[in-house]
Amino acid sequence: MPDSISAPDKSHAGRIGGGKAHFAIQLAAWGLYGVLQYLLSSGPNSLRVGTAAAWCGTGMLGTHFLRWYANRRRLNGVPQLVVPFAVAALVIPAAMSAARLAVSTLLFHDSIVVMHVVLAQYIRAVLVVSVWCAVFLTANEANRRRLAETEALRLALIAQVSQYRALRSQLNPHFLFNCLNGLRELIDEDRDRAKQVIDLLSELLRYTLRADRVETVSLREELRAVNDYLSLEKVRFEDRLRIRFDIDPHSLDAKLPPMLLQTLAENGVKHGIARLPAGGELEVVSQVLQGSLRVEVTNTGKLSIATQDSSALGLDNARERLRMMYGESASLTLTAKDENRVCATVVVPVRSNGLGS
Amino acid sequence: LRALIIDDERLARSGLRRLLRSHDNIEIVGEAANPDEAMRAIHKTCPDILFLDVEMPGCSGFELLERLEDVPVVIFTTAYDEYAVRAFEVSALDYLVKPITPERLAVSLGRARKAVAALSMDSASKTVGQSALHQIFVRDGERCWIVRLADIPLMESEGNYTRLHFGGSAPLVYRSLAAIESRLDSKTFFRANRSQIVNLNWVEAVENDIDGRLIVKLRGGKQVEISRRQSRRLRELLSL
Repeated sequence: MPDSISAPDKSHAGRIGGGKAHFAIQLAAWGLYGVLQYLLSSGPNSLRVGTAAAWCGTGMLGTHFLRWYANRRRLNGVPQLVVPFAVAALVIPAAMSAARLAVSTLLFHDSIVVMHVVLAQYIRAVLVVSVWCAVFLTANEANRRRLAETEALRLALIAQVSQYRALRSQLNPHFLFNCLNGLRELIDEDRDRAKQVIDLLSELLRYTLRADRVETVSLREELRAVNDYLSLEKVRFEDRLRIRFDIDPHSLDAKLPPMLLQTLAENGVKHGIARLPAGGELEVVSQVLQGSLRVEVTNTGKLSIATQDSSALGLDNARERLRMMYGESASLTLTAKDENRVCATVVVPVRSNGLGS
Repeated sequence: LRALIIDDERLARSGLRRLLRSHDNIEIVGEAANPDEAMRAIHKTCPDILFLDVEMPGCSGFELLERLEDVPVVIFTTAYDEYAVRAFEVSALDYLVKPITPERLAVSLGRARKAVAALSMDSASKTVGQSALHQIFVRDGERCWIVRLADIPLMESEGNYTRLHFGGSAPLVYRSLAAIESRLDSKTFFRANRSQIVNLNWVEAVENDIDGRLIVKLRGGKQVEISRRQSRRLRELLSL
């Protein structure tokens, strides 16, 4: 996951028609049109050049001013632009016609002004400017939609990332402080054991810190952490906690989100074994089945107790995390194996490293 | 002071025992690892102080207190304080967070010593067999109290339950008024009528009703009508 998702450069987002590209297209289009105008006209050469330049130059300046005006007034999108563009489609052609007329009469003393010719020119100019407006609006609309889509995607990604962070499970402070309390006594009672506990606790803490930075870990690494965790709980619970691992060697390199099994083991201890005066057994079984890693964490206890209170929330978080990473191909279920055993089953696809990596 | 340590972790118990060694006026009369052991130990040893782990197998520390008739001075121990802090908003009750530090333990013991002394001065209770009734644990929904009987001005019967009025709260306890009355000192607690018992130490004024019955005004503003028969007894008691 990226650390931050930056907003697109906002300075251009509100403007219509890109900067340099707009000038190039504007020049090319009006230039081409001017050349065509020149080629298709008749009469003295200088008059043809002059009128074509006046005609197309005014059109280019007019539409350029139109764009500048729309940007300045921060007009964007068809509903806001339609009125100024409609007005422009009538005014700019008038300016074009006027400029042409002025050039031909003033510079070349072409004093015969035929009304229906001027009107025909004006109508042609209206068509040209209308086409310009249509092209501009279409391009603008496409651009706007693209920006909106990018923004929506960015917001969705931000939401997902923050949700994902919130879903990461951390070491339960309860466990941590109980551990330290036990350690305090062990230092007097059994120094070697105390040193062992410090080592285990350091390893586990290091693992949880790393879990914050990586998407997935191998089952081998996760199981090492689960083992560290359970060994620490064993220091607290002593004979009340019995641990059993049954691991398929083929499953050890399969990937899964970090802290997932640790959370399940912690749930099993907290809601199962810790509540039983005589304690119980916690069993971790892993295997690879039909391209999926399947891990079962089974503990002595009652399902009704396990699904009450905060345990349900912890599982919901873990489920949501799996859904975000693997979609529908991963699952996490909590079932009663028999009357006195609760089993949490995780299924994660083997090949996928998750959507996010 | 006689203390009982209740915690399901052996290391936690021996750690606390070690910490208490440096306090010479504390005698540890026992340890318990679960609520059942704790109940037996409490009945057998009648401790002055309980060191009680909030989180326990079988039932929580609170449930254990609910099962006790008379509640000693309690110092809760907890690894993470949200539980204790949330539950006890009203009663002045102490708790230690784990790992327990010697300094904080010394402070708690000082408070506990005062509380035990105050309880033994209470004339509110009478001794039945070995145990006296000094304070009771009350839970009403999310809120908990350990309340001294001397601090309760008025108790009211509600079927099998009794409503205790104290300090602006009125929680219900699942004990009949008669059951509670049998453990009360009749010099302090007076049966006003069929459904109410008043604490005479809280009486502010006594007034005569028109038909010869008494009305008792309690500090804090509550008024209680005394039945005709009990009015006569109260007059004798107060030699009015």
